Amino acid sequence: MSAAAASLIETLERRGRNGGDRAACWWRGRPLAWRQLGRGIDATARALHARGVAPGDRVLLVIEEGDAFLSAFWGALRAGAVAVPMLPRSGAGRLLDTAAWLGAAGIVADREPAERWQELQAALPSGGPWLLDGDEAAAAPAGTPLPAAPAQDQVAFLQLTSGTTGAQKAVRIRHRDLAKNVQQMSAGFGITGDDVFLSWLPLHHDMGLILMSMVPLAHGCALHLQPPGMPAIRGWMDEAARCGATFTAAPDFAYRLCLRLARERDGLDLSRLRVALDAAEPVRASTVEEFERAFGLANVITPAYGLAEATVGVSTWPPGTPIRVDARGYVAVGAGFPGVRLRVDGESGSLPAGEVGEVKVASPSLAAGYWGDPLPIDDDDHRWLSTGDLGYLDADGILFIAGRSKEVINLGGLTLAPREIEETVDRLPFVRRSAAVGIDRGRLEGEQVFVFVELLRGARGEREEQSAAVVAAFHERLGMRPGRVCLLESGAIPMTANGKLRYGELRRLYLEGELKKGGALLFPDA
Amino acid sequence: MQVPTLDEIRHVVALELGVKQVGGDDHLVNDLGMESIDLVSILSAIEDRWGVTAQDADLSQVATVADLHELIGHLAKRAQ
Repeated sequence: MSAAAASLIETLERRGRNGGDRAACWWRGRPLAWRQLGRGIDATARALHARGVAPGDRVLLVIEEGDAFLSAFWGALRAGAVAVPMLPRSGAGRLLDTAAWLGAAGIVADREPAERWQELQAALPSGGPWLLDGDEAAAAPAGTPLPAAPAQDQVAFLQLTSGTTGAQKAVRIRHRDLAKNVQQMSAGFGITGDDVFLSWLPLHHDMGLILMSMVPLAHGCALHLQPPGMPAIRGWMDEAARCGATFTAAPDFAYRLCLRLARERDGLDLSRLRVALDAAEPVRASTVEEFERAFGLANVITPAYGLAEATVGVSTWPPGTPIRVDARGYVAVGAGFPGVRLRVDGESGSLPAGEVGEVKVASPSLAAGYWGDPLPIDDDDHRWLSTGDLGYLDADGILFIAGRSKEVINLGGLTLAPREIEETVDRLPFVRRSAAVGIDRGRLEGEQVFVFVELLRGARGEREEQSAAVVAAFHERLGMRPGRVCLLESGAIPMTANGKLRYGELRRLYLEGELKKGGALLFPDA
Repeated sequence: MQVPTLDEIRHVVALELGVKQVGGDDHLVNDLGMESIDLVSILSAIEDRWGVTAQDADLSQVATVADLHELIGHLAKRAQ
């Protein structure tokens, strides 16, 4: 059995014992030795066990620093817990809601920001979920035993995402799904221990966590991790040249933004870079072309497709070959990783080659449904996952992604649930109703969160202040900001007869300028 | 094409970031906590309001609000 196919935890523990001072990864340039990572995993597993964490207990992880996150994440898994990686800047309200929803045993969080820590301390009842920082979570009393390692069929972690209906969901990803998907992706990309990975993708989210940290850790590759954000995107290719990266990954918008932000383009030695994966957002052919031209690359940007419900990776274009773009500008994402079967369905069953319908996926690494809505584990071989994504298969069985039918917001590769945003905004005193929609106008910024807010009749206050209050509430909850807030007249958000938001119609009204023409758009007026 | 003033750019930045006070010398990332995604939404707001497109702009020298104003002014003049 290859290293990647064995239990990932066993592999990590073995490397922890034998790897000594060799770096498991570099975080912000500082090495985390295998010995240190091994110790961190071991200590966290013992300490959580001593605290009464039992197999299957949910533990929220809210940790910004990558090296600390990896120790806590794998330690929690080693203890048999179900890790729940959170956006590190989530507000206290979001953490408490999630802990209550999942019946969490506890929260391991950064002490910064201090107000959030205090708010959590005050809100968590004694006897309810505990709150620890990373050091406390790894402080095992002397003589604490190491619990039994989790079985392959146990759930390893919950990936928060948005289901197809726009409500917050948590995908149940088992240990064996991780091992299998790591193996599939490793084969599809031809990963060897000689690869050098560079990633600034968030570690709490599937592509950053599974593809860009589990795959390299499983193979013992050199792994350079940076925190996400503008400095990382600006210095991305400099860093790739410096560390001799062979593999990196990001959503499409980051390649476009890197082109505008990068200070150095010429004289960078990127000759070792063989895969720059472009996934988690629709791939634009123009992005691939411009980026490769600007940095003197050929057949390096590799379009791929995946989703949390399939653990992460579903398909990739074969690395090192020219990309394929159809007449409509859709970009080919390959014929599936080994073991993956693809199908495209219309209203009445499977569609012939070339026709656009819903993409369905069968794979040995499909996740085990959602929290609260699990799927039977013995059914894997006969299951077709409805992805909510639209696409077609060409005559060679190659998948082209054309759009999506689900109500999800894709913000730079993160899927956000419209409902969570709406519930946050609806609590503001001047709001009658809100709708959060992902809108891509085909420009530099890509898909952005548009928050449409119907004002209560007679609500007092300046429009600008109301708009700023929406941004602030969004930021307080999610630690990020919306792309645009539009204040609307009461009754302007289109609804169905039975009171459901008509997202598609709202998007159309906005894009075609009808909200503005009809006078329903109150702010911004330009 | 109208060219936005520094005050107008400060105003857009404050609105997009949901903060009250924005100074011209404020550093977008260090002082205002701007993320990569926020920058593109600010540029998009500017494009919608003044028609100044930053689609192909070189943003590598933009660090402060005043830098952003200078860049937008430059792009607006180039488009005239």
